Amino acid sequence: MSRSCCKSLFFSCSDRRLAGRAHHRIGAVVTVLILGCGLLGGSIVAQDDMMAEQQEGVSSDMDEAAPPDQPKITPEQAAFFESKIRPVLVTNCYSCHSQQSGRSEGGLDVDSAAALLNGGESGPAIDVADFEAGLLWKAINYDGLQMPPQDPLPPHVIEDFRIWLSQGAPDPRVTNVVRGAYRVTPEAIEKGREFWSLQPLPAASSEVVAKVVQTHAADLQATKPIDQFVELQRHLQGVSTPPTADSYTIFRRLCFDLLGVPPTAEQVDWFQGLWAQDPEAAMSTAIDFMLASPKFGERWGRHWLDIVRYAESTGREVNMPYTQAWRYRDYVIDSFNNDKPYDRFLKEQLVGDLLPARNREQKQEQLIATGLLAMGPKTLNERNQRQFEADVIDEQIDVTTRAFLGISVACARCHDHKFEAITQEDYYALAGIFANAVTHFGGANSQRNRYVSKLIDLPIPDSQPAMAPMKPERIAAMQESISQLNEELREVRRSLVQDRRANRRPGSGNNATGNNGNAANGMEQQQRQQMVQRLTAQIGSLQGILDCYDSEGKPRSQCMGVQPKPRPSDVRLLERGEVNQPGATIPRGFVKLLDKSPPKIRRDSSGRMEFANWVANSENPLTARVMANRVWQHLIGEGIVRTPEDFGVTGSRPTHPELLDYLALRLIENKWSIKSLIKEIALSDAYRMGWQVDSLASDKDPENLYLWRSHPQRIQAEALRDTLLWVGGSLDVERPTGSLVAQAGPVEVGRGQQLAQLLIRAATSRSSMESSNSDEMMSESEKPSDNADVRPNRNLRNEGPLMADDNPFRRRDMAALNSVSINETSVNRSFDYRSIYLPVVRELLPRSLELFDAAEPSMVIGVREQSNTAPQALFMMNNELVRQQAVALAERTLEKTGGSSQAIDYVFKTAFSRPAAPDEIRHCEAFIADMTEEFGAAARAREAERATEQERRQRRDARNRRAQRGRDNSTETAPNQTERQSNPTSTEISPELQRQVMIAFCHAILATAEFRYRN
Amino acid sequence: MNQPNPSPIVASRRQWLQNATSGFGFLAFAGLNAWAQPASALAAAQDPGNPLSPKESHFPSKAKHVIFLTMAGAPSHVDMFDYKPSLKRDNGKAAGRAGGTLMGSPFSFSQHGESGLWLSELFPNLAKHADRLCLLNSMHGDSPNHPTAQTQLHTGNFQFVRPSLGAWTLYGLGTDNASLPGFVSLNPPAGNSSSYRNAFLPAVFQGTKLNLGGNPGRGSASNRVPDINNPMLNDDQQRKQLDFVQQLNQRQSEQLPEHPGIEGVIQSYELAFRMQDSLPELLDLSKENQSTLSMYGANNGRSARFGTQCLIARRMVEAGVRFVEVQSGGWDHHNSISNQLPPKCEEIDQPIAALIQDLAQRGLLEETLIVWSGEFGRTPFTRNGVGRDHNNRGFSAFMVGGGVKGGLRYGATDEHGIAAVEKPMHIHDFHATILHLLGLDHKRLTYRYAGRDFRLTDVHGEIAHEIIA
Repeated sequence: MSRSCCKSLFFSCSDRRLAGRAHHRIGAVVTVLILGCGLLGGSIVAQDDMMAEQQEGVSSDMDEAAPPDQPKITPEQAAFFESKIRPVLVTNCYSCHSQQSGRSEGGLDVDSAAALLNGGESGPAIDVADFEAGLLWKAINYDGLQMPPQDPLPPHVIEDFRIWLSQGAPDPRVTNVVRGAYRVTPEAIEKGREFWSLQPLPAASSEVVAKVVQTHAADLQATKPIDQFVELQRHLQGVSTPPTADSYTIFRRLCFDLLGVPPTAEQVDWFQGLWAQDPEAAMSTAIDFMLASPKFGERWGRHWLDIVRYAESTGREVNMPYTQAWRYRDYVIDSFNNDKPYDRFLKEQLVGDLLPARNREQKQEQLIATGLLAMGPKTLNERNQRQFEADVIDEQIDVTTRAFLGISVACARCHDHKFEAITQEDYYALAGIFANAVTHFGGANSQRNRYVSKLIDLPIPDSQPAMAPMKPERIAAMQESISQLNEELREVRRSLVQDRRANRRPGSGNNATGNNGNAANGMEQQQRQQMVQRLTAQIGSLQGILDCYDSEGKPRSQCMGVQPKPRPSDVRLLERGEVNQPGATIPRGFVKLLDKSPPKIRRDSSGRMEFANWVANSENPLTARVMANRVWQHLIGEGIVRTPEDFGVTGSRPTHPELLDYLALRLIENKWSIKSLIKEIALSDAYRMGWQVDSLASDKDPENLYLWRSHPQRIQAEALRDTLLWVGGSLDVERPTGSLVAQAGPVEVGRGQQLAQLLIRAATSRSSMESSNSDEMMSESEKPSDNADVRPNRNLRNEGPLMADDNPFRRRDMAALNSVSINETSVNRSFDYRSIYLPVVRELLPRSLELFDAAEPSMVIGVREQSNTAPQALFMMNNELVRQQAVALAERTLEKTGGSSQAIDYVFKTAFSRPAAPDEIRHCEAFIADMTEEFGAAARAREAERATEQERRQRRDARNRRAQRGRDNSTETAPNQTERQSNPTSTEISPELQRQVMIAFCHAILATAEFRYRN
Repeated sequence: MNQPNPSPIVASRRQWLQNATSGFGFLAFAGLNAWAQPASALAAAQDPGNPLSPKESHFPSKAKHVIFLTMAGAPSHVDMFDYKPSLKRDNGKAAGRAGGTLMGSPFSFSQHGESGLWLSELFPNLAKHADRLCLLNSMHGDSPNHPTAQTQLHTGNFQFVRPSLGAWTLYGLGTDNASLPGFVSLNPPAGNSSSYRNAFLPAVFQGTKLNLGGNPGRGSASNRVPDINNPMLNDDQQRKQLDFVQQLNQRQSEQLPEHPGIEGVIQSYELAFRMQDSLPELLDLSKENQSTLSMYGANNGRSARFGTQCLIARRMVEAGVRFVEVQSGGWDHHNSISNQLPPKCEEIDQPIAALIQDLAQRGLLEETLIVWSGEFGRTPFTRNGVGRDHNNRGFSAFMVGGGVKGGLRYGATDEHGIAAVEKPMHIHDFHATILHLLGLDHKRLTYRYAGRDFRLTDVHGEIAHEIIA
């Protein structure tokens, strides 16, 4: 058989396209890397022993290069392989599947034992346990796959392969790896353990305090431990002590920090009363009051969602919604509200599926918690399944190590960490732990989505499902469609097989570009191929919807998360992180740098439980420090370590190391209670710091590391939108059921427009049920109605998911929907719940959030930007949401104060949480007078015009009437007279004018910098 | 940590905030009523406290503006700008190691201009400017996947979130017109923020995305910018309201001097208010005469959308916008090159030719660098007999104006167009060269983030000096 036999057909037709594409990736990468490595002195991989022998300087520390779990090969086996198997592989397969040829069609190489076991896109080539199930065996027997493609191997050769494979495919070819010069040495790891963040915490918080007070007692004024640490640093750094902020500022600070909304005018007065009696008691009372509010969890839960990159879709090109992600969101909010011990909270998210549960409720909660591991961004059109799986695991490693431990392990995916003493082996040891969990994230098939995964059924059915039920007739109809489509699919597949047979007949050309006599030509085959794809996608799409319902049409109660795999195993290290370059098998384990003697992982355990116990542990030097730092950051404005995700070499050092240890220990000592830690910090003097200008301190410490003044914060996106609705009195403080994304159903977001449409419809349908004039309120340009498909559907709730009442397969004119986005006027306007409940679709954030630096939902975000941009300014000046809330605030103000002199004070207290100063009142009064004049003049001008027009019309009407004679005109003149009576006189201010002015005033207040800041 | 910052331009977000604060009073209150006037826009732009004010480049250069035309989906280089006679000759032969069957271009190529540049028949209009074109025939990148390659084309990196080319440019050079955003991205596809994002750079350097130019086949162009006007207040009333807002902001700023945010808010209102006037006017094409619209093909069929956007891009550059990106989608032609490619080329051929001509006749071509590229190219071979697949190993881009040589063909792929072999130009090299043309040294244009100095080109990037006029 000649090499050219592998020319054009590879695997089945359906795989051909994939194989081609895979080749490009691999070919390019291999070429570039090998050339590059030669020049840069990087790593070189020799996949064949003959090549390896020519290499010099094989690194001695890579003796484990031969997979350790592979059985020892006897000399007989080696001889058999060399004489019977290797020549066949070389002659028949290497031209398309080897490093030497540079081609790895279908992602498969056959020139090393590891590569065969690792397999290609279709899976491992060899199944050691059941050789007849292996793809290589099937392919040489022309069972499904046909290899070599032109002619099968002779029977005696196949028999040789049977012998070889049945023995477990003993393969003497060794993958010799020459690694680059940069390696993390054991000494480096030893040295790395001396780093500050890896030092064990002191025994008790009291010990830390005692040490500081002993050494500096004479100098310290402060009495509370936190303040002693802060004061000590100020002394040491030679910066001044800030003044205490006024009680209004402190109370506003507290409300934003703990609840995410400012106090009402009444609450402002209430707190002032308490403060006047006893500031300490006032703070304590207010803090307790707020920590008990359900709004607390909605505020602090959002911080957590930032760092675990919470989102309701996969992101990237295909962007499939996660219809059940909201359950995790609610879980997080509830956990913060219930003050769930932080160690427990972490454990549930890592191993909720493995933890014992007392009852169904707890089981449910724990299953939902593992959603953390499932909701990372995913490339659903990734063609290589191994790549996809490796990326999912990478994402899980990244989020858990950075969010929980403040250390980035994911950097070691491709090579030893450049800065930290973390090896590539460490990474794959951890990857092995996660690889033993199946990740369930849901989604429906589509033409581009190659990865559909089932959701986990929850033990408790939803009493109030997030999706509307579907009529049983509809379910039946969809099932009917599926079977019809399946029939069609079988038909097309049959003709494809016939084509292939015809093509293989002797005499028929094998040229895809030409006509092949009576067989279908390339074009027709191509069409059939596309048909198969389309039908498969249609079936998958319908099935995806059906999977959300039980047979009666009731939405199932399901969640995202992970489930254990039955038999734990290890993974192989991937050279340069490339899935086609598997190296040694790495035993499951932890990062060596972080623990000298980590807990052992039992053979029959995936290691995930051990990992969770090790992370959520008071002995772990990082876990408590990292979380204590976050809590401090959210209250003080900047962390003690300013890189909350990076407690490593590249991160910032702690500005107050003893304070950080103290807080970490307090967290542990208070049974990991987040609320207790918050309360202690909020009760400190540090929390009451005021603002000052001190040029000396500015020069010494421009970044205010040592807290010589407060850290003002621009209010975060969610809090700003909540505050707008709050001051307007429009905020719905209840928690909505589910999410708009759940209502939209499992439909591919695609370029974003399709789901945007569905979300808009979900939102408008809600508002159209609740307010009859939602359509009228939308200005013409904002109506998403150019497309008939997107008109609000008022009967939605009774009709099943939004997805289902469309034909999902009709290709929408995507471009025609370009102008539609999730903007204020659609989703945001009609959705008046707290912003944490807004849909978080990757790449498609609601405008009010995106504009104000909401956390990018594909990234671990510990610190948000605080920008001030022109589009934000335009938003505050003109956006409908802001204008509506200005109207609402104005109307409330007039109602409460009757437009009296107290109005200004009321608005200030509501918007700024403080009364207006005398000079401000003067400014405000001047503006109000000015606008009264302005609007009054405008109204009079309009009125005059209208009157003239009316008179003209009356004269005309009268003429007409005279001409038509005998019509009664009394009913027509009466209203005109009344209208004229209501005309404002030049001196009197009409209620309408007063309202108009108050709206302009309130709008201005909402637009100020102060409204957007917590100082 | 207070680490020294080697960046010559802006040290850190904090530092420029501090600069902004020390420069407080920039456009003091007396100036508020003159907001809409160009003079004050200029004054604002030149204020040293404004992070967007124009900055000295590292060295003198011709190019001051960039119009970046990106073709999402990966256009087929061997059918457009990379003439391969051998491919035609070897049509139908096995592509060798690469697999598939070689497929000669179904389109004819001919030489144009004095330079004799070979161009495909798909670009009859662009061909008239052959002597201005600088073809880059040896482009290559690291990823054959659309999203990742798009990200690399824009940010240099395909794995991590990094600032885009436009954000780096704005960071390096600032902008001339304070009434307009300095970096505009016209119609970026939803789901790909990599093309305009600032990543770790301060948010002022983020591209302002504008969805303009209407939709293909729908005739009228709807040039709307969100929140650009207030239906409740007229201009005078809104100005009064804003004066009042700024008065309160000013008072706050006196109460809390050096406050990092208040000054930012005051500045943002200044630009926003000016944008309200300038942006709709800039986007209002009704006053463009019919011949201009026809020149861009902005009023006819296929080229209407891209033509309108090119025209807007020209107006923006003219108004002083530093970096404008125009994206065109739908270049992923797996299924049929001969059917799918011609209409796509028709969409862009006339508009780009018009853009070159228009800029030239306005004397703006020398200072405006037009860059055209896809995220990668396509295979010279075929697997289904009619279409071409992804190829990141060799593809073509081109540049016009902005101090590049015209009538030049730089670098080459192998005889069939599979891989870049002669003077290969990696995306990093491409970026380094663009920055160089703007007078920026890609090695010195750094920003400190997470404890290290980042560059657009990471540790790579060779400048293609040969293409510089």
